[in-house]
Amino acid sequence: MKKIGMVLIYAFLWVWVILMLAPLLYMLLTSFKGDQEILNSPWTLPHKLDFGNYVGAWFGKGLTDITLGTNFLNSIVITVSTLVFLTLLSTLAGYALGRHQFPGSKFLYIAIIGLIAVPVHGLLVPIWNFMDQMAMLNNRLAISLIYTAFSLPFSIVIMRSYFESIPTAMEEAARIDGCKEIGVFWHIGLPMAKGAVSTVIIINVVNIWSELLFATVLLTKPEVRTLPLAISLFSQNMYSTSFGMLFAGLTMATLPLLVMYFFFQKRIVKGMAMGALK
Amino acid sequence: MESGMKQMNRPVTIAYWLKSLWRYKVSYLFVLPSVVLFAVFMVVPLVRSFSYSLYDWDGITSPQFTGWGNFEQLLKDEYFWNALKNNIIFTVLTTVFTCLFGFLFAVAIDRRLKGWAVFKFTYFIPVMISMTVVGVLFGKILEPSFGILNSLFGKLGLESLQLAWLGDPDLALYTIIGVTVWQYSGFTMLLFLAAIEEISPEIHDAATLDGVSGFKRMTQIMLPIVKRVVFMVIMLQIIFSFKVFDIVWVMTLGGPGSASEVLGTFLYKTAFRSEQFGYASSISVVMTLIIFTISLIYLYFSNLGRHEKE
Repeated sequence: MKKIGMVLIYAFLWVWVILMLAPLLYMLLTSFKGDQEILNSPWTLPHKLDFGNYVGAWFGKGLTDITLGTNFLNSIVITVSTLVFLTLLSTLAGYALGRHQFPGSKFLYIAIIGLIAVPVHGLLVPIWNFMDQMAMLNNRLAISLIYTAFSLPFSIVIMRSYFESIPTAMEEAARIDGCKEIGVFWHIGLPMAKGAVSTVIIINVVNIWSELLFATVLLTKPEVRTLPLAISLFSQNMYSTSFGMLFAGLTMATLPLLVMYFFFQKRIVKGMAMGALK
Repeated sequence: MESGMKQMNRPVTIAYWLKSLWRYKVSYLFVLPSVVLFAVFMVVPLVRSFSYSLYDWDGITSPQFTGWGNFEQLLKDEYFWNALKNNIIFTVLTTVFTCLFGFLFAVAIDRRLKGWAVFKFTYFIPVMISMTVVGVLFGKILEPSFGILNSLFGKLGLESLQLAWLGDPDLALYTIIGVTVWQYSGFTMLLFLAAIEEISPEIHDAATLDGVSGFKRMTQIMLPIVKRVVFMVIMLQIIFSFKVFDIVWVMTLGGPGSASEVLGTFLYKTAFRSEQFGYASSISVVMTLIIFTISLIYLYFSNLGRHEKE
């Protein structure tokens, strides 16, 4: 009886491994096949390692309004600038809140916790309207700032609790040496927070890279679209869809984060768990 | 603090008040950029979302005040109730299954079943992929006539399983739920694992001595110890699932018909397809209130809430 139970559990665990890997393997293999080959032999390995789909998708060959190369670079620019703003602002605010008491600091902290509970979907219409009025639709910097605002509350909480937990001796020494407060932050506070910064990046990077709803509403011109947005439009366009190029696009959208996972598995797993169970 | 008390006797003028705040200028400077972003992109939009919901507004002509009109209409709107119902089905089923599978996986990995490192590594992979990619990929895999799942069933002689996974109104929502469970069971696994690994080896040794093993150990010893984390993960999954948009949008656009419509897609369509911005805002308000309430319960029981209560 017990043995049968164990066999079932093992079977389930290994079937799940296959379920995890098979769709991704299919995606990767299909991205190297021509459209005819995809229809005729979906199960085989591609007959040669042909990057044609990638080149085609990157330059948008034969596609209307879709140039995944541009979209890929947009995604990189928006993700990286959001992470830079996020790191800088959350460290600054977390440092101020974790290290110093000031009139309003307690209220601010409670307000920030309240903001964590605000679902950003509910802000879609007013933000779209505001961006429209300010003529900031299709503006990559503006959408970075919006993503930064949405990711900030939780990131500040993480930074604050980090600065609360480490000793202040180094900063005191610097202050005695006549270092200004901003210098203390820049030369000591920020470098000390490397671990917490990486946690902030880890818990936010997938969301920012993948964001679809606000991108759909705020980025309407083809040349500013992000990769997930372009892929969603690409797949919904029934008439000009090239299967191979679409799969090349899916792989392009997946690889950066997957490569990151392969290299930093331990850190990512720890960061995610720490973030969620804070 | 003491000097502050003494200064209380002085006349409190705005200039004096500003001067006393000036001492904290660096702290204010540090939080200023964040506060500005919050104000512009969260607080003001939140307030405006509430005020828009009291107007009829097509985005072009000037808004007409209707009071609670939009909410009255919402209560009578069968599409709203349908979206809410689908949202609840989606939330309950994804939460139940991701937590069930995640807990099982976490116990298997913690007990070092053969292959545990492979499980731990592979189960988490889909969490790192964007929902859009997962949705599009499965959309193609599940395509009824040339998708590889149905062609696989054909090869295995299981023609009865060749279903219209996303085209059948009775099935589409459950297919999307299945794909979401596929993607996020690794996430709950990770959270449970972090909690279970904290259980001290002494407790396991005692359990082994007492002959408690397998299923009993999982439900009667490990589960109670990590009870708080289980609760937190369930809440987290509920909040996350209630906000679903991406995967539904790329897999079915809420269809066929409105069979897989959820609040997120319903909101989007009401605002940006039918240009009823006031009505869409009333949907936003309902969503915001529901999620805000659940999130506050979560925050109350999390370490964040605990910290503030002390």
